[in-house]
Amino acid sequence: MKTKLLSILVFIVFTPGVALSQVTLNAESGNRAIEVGNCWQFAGQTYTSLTSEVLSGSFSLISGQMNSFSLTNSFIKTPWMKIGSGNITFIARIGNQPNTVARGVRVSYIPYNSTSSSTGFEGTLTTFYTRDFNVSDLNTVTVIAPIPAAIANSTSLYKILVSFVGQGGSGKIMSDNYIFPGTYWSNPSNSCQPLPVVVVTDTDGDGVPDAQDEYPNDPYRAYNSYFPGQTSFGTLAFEDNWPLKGDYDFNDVVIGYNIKTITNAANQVVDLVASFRLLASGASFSNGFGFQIDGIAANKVSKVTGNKPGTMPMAANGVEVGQAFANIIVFSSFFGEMIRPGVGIGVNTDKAGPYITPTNMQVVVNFINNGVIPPGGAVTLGQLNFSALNFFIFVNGDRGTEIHLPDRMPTERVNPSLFGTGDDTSNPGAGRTYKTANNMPWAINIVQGFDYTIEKAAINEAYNFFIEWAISGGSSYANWFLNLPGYRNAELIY
Amino acid sequence: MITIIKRFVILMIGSALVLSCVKLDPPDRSIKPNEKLNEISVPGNFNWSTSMNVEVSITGLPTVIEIKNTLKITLTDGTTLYSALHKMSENIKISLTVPNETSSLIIIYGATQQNIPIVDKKAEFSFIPVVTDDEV
Repeated sequence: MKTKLLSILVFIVFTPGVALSQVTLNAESGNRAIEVGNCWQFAGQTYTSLTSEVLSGSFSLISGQMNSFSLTNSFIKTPWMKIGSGNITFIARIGNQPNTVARGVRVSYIPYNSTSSSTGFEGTLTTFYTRDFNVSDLNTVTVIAPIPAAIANSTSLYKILVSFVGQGGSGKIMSDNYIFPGTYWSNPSNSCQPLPVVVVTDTDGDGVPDAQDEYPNDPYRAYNSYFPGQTSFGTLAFEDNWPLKGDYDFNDVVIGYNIKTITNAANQVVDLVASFRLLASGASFSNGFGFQIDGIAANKVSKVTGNKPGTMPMAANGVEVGQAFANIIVFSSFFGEMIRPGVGIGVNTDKAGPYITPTNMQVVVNFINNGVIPPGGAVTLGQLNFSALNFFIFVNGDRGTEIHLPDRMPTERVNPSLFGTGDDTSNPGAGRTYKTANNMPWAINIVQGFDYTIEKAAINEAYNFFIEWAISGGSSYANWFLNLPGYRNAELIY
Repeated sequence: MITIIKRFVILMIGSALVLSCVKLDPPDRSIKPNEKLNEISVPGNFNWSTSMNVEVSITGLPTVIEIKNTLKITLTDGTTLYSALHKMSENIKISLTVPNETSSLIIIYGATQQNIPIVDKKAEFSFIPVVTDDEV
């Protein structure tokens, strides 16, 4: 178990021996954008792969035409560095063109100035090396620029500017194999500002700095992800007469849901926190509710808390027994969690009856318990996308009569003999489930949240564009459930 | 007289028995389905969902030193859909479920915050910058 000490980490730098003694540039990426992304700057410089222009390897740098002695007309500029000692070296060659009057190179250093944000924190430039090339010498030469004592081995930060100058003719300057003694000290993820000079605090030592860690004192947790929103709830609405059609009021079971996924610094799922609101049940049956986590083996769960499976058999880790995938029974009886008032059918679908405050339940599926990964292994955040959650009800205590969203696979506890009977046209082997002959479902999921209908009011009677949405395959009136003018008949909505 | 009383008692007992029968509601298997919904033709491949799965592709930048920072992908309302420690040099594909009406996502990584459009249920982001010929 990690001890919670104040761990001093430079969080960005992980690789041992990362303090490089050299910063190099050789154009071999073939893509200047990669060097720019790593905080190099260029002006009037591109990469060339022409055989007649390459000095070393497959690519070299090449300037534009030289007609200026300005230091900022054609240059390469290093990222922020801690400068070492010795010589800055590179190779260069003048392009063979007539009327060349002058070609040269100037090397300067630029100090970091923390007060000069307008210049990208670049202070005043100092040129410390000058070389004018022999314009009749078309050979590749080595440029050796001694690092001045003023900056050698300094703890301060600098950029090195290599400027190419010239006059006359169209001849360009090729260069390559730059070596700058020193240590790379830039942060490409932070607008190329210097790496932190002050070490970053990581109280729980999990590798995520406190400023980014949503659990700064918990070494086993770091981040939260949400669906459909941090505080918003989607709505699941079921008909419970499967495999026969119901009255399509989609209020036999109505449940609001919000999912929070908690991960650790290794991006493994630690907890799935499922919050449910039992909103209504306009049914004679007292239905149960659960969800399968598709693709996630049952033994990847460490424990389940907050659910009420009643007398249904559960494994030691809290998932339902006898299923390959993790199955969580949230409750076994709706009316065990919300008492019927005895007016009308069920609860909260008949306006004549009293409104019963929805019961809230929070089910926590714990995957990694105090850092211990269960026998089935860890689950990554990528594996636990919301689409893996396969919600279902089971009817009136009959575990085998389970009803899912359309085309979602049943659990292993389903009674398969019910498929294809009554109004159901499921063909699970072909991926088709819980649909009628004209493809009507027995359950819908409105992630944006949904105002359900009163008892016996069919959904198309309450929502004027529900049918248009359905027959268009979702392309028309995708917002049919919103409370927009003309979209609903309010008297049919609870 | 006694016969009348007997008949009355029998009648009263019989009435009480009849009236006291508690008829449990049987499972209602004879619900009349909505006729209109039975007649519409819904496409067979319609999934009835108000959400969609979006594949987010992130292209890494080969870095000089290893850079790790928190990668967040959010909706435009700030809802965090994905949050993880991520190496800047790593390529990654992430599948996220978003409401159907979502047209863009926001990528947040260090000082970078960028809105990326969703096109055909795909969204792309690259840490490699776009460089023009006159880039300084």
